Amino acid sequence: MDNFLYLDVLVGILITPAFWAQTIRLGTPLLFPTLGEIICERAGILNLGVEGIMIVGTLAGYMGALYSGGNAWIGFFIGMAAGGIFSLIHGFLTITLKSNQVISGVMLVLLGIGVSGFINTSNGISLQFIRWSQRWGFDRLEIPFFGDIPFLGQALFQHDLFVYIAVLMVPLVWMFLNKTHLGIAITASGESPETADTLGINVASIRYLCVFLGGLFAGAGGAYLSLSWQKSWQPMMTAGRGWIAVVLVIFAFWKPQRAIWGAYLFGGIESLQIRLQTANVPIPVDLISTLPYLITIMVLVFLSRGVRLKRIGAPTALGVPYERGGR
Amino acid sequence: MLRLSVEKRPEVSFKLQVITPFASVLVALLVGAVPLLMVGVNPFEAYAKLFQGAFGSLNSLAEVGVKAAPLLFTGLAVAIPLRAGLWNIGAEGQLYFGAIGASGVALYFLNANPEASAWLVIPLMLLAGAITAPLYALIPALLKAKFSTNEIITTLMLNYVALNINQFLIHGPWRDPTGFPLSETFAKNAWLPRFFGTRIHLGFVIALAVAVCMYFVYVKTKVGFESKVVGANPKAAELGGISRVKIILWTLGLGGAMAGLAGVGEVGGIQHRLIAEISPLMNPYGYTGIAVALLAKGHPLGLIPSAFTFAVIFVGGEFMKQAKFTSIFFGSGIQVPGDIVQILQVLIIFAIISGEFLARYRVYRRPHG
Repeated sequence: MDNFLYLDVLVGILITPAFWAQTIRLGTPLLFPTLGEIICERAGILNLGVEGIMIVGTLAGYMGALYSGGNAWIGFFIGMAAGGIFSLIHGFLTITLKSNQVISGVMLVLLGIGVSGFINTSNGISLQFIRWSQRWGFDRLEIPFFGDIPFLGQALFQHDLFVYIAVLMVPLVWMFLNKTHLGIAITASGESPETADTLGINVASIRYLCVFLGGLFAGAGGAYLSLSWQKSWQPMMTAGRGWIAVVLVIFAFWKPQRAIWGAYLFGGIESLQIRLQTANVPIPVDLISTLPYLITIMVLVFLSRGVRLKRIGAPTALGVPYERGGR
Repeated sequence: MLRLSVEKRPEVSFKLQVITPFASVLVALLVGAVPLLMVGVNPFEAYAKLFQGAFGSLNSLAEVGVKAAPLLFTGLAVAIPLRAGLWNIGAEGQLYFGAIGASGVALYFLNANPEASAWLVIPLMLLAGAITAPLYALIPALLKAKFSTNEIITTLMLNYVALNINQFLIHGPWRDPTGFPLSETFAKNAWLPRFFGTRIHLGFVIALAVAVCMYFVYVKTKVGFESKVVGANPKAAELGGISRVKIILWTLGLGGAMAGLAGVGEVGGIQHRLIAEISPLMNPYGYTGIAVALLAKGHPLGLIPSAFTFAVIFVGGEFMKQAKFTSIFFGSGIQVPGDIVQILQVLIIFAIISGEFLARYRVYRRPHG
């Protein structure tokens, strides 16, 4: 019984700086889409298609870098743009055609898988066999002084730029939503579209914009996965992260400043899962792999238990198509 | 400039309701021509191959039936809870649990009594699949009933869990003695009977029978009626004394059983062993079930043609994928990626929901000013 719960293994993992570094790197592809989905949901549109948009982002980002001669920046922006454009399908269906947002979102996931697979197969060279790192490498930043601090340096200051961009996005999105006129208009469109409309806010345009911004962020999360985390591309490499992001929005109470904790918490769970698989623990790898999904369910149950979602910040008009009265 | 405006129609005509599914498939094929043109393939040639692959021979027709069976089941798995307003995105995971349950029975008899009668083994397999899968579906159902936990996310997350549990079984306890990550081949008494010398198996017959039965469950039973009320007007259902908890457990449980039977059919009728990809990795049956249910607008009898529609695209798509086309850009020997099947599937649903918009609203040219 001295091996109960394998505490020694657990502690051994927790005291390695590499574990914490991996936690942050794995939190980043969750942080981007979560921030995007917060913007989108704050305007009243539930976009369950995040997973599909991310998948498109992984491929577009990867191809963008590949065909621009190895420019990761170009790749990243193409991944973002593709995510934004792809998400407009959801915008058209739910805002203009006032369709059910669940159906549209779920179908967007399937479309993302299909479209990325189609492009990959018709591309000529099968992308999943190229490894990014062998071609150009994608360096982590050399941060003087901070990078040399023992433990903290390796955990926090030896990442590539996108990790820090994601962190920087948190205060930016917070300011955008809470301190700008546009941000107030977004919240108004999500809380009470009728009132927003009478105040002269074009609810449909606001919602289109937010769906697009959400798509940009989800695309960025996808591009991060293929350009930075895996440094290669595989079909469906997002492995449910888009869905986890949807849960993280609730976890964050629709507030960007809380999203960062949720993203890194789940990055940590995933990082732990990867390390447990290689640690000497007699639990089968396949069962350890279920960990992030089971914990997502538990978090969701904990959040829904006895809590009225409205009270923790759910937009009142979330998921409800807006119809203008009269003509 | 053309200025368009929309206006709500006073009522949605029945004719439009019936026409939209058919029109949607046509529209999807039309829009699906765009990616085909992008690889330079003549869409007419491609679709000709698709239909040849599905209807070209008795065997290919039978294959359509083989695919229609699990799709009909997973379509029911989505449609039954949807009637009560619940989204079962977890048919995929429930399908795997049904397959695991049936495999458990088959492997038990393989070791304990390989001579047991098929009349005993096969009903037990069906029963096992129809029990393990609903038990799995009851997890999100209970969470929904007790804590109002969003069933879309929980059912979806459980798909990943089920896939991993299946992996665990074929890597671990149920691994074939030869060492490959699949289970041992079932004894012959655990093989679902096949018909006409094709791969059409008992699961197909059961699927059709269950769909018809479900129609009567909808119109004749109390649960069927109550689930409709809960779905259409939860407030009224509550006032009318209908137990929300009961309906959640019933519909998701029943939906789970449907997906479970799809899994039984696949391992018992097609694979004859538990493997990693019981449901194809591209176009998984569980997710396609959502499309099947939506195309049929949830009607159990409508599910039959709907499942066949998607089965035709699946089987034809497999055939089209292998055909060589002459591309206007890239010369001869061009193949159409099989992923077009998934794209068509989504386009059908997009067309359906756009069609619903046109049925609900009237688009007209706005006068100037």
